[in-house]
Amino acid sequence: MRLINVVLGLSLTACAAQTVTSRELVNARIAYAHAASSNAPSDAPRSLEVARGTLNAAEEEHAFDPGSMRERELAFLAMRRAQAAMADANARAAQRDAQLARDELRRNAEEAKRAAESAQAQTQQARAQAEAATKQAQAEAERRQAAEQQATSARLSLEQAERNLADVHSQLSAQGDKLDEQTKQLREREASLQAQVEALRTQRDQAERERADAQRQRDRVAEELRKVGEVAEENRGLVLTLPSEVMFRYGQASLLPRAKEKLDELANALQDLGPDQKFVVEGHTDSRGSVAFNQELSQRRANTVRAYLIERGVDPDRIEAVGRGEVEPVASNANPEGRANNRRVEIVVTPPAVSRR
Amino acid sequence: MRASTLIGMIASAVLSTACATTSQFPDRQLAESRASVRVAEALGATADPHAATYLEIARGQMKDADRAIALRDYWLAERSLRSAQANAELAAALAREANARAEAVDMQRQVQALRARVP
Repeated sequence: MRLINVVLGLSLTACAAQTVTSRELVNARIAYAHAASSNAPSDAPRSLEVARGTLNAAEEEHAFDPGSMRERELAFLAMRRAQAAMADANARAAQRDAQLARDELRRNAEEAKRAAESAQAQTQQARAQAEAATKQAQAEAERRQAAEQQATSARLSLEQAERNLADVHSQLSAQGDKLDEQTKQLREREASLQAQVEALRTQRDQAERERADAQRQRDRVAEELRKVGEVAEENRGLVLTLPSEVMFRYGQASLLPRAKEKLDELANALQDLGPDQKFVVEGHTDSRGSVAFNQELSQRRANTVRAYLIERGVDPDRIEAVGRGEVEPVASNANPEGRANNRRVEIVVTPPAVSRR
Repeated sequence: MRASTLIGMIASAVLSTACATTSQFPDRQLAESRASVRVAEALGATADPHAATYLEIARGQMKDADRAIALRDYWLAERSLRSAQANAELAAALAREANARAEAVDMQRQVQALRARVP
């Protein structure tokens, strides 16, 4: 075999000058050069090395036996392996590109994840804030509701108070009307009373005037009577006492001359008193003699005095004669002086009719 | 020219004859070539036009080898099998490249889409 190869090599060498490089080897060289100038040395060094080794084998075969079947076969393998090295390099570059893109996608995914986490945190924060705000709003709403209830209650109370006030007003108004009516009635009553008071005052003044008049009358009567004799002011009226010794003889009823003088004065005085003044002539005796005689004597003496006064111009209707006998002594009948005082004629001027009303 | 061709042919014939005579059943090469074709197929070489071309060539050469084996021409069979292996390996490399490119394009498209979405 070796021997044959040597022979063949010699024969081939002899023909080399006339032999061109096979098409397969040319294509292999081109394919390898193409691969070697690409990124295959860095991205597919092993594949390229395999292709290089195969091309070298083809070149050796070419050098040994140019254009041989073996050369062409090895050159074909070298071309395919160079092409495969290119493909491997391209695949490697594509893988690198894909890896770069994948890395970028991963970075983006991580950024997106971080962004999502941040967004989630923000969302949670916002949710917490929203919940807080909701709670606050609820509390606010509850406070507002309570305030509205208070306001409603206050308004109801106010309305009740206003109704009460209106009731009180109407009551007051009614009471005011009543009071006005009562006031009016009281005013009328006051006016009536005032009129009555006025009338009473007038009456009182009238009465006082009349009383003063009566007093003056009495004073005047007393003045007139004192011209005649002793005058006493008693409850029954003014009493003028005329002693019997001055008037009558003892045991008789006829008048002494001095008595007529006195009675003339008395008659003048009585005339001065006016027509309405009435008076009583009372006859009194002492206790000597019988009661009946004394009674009868005192009556007759009184009658005598009345008759004389009427004779001297006194109106008979104004004058009354009464015999009192011995029953109304003014002193003791035990001694002469006392008995002399008890024998008397009294002119009783009754108080004026006006003052007795 | 004619002489050299003649001499080459003679040399080749001598070489071939020598090889043929020494050739045995190419069981190892057959296994490797089949494996290479399966690898190319598994990598999806049929899906890529460029790779599919070489895969188809490889398959044809595998059939050539089967026919040669049937004729007990083990020398010719081994040659076909070696060529088929080289074509299948190139198809596989091209399929890997196509896959890597497709993946890179896909990734870059995703990146573009992401960039477009997020300025």
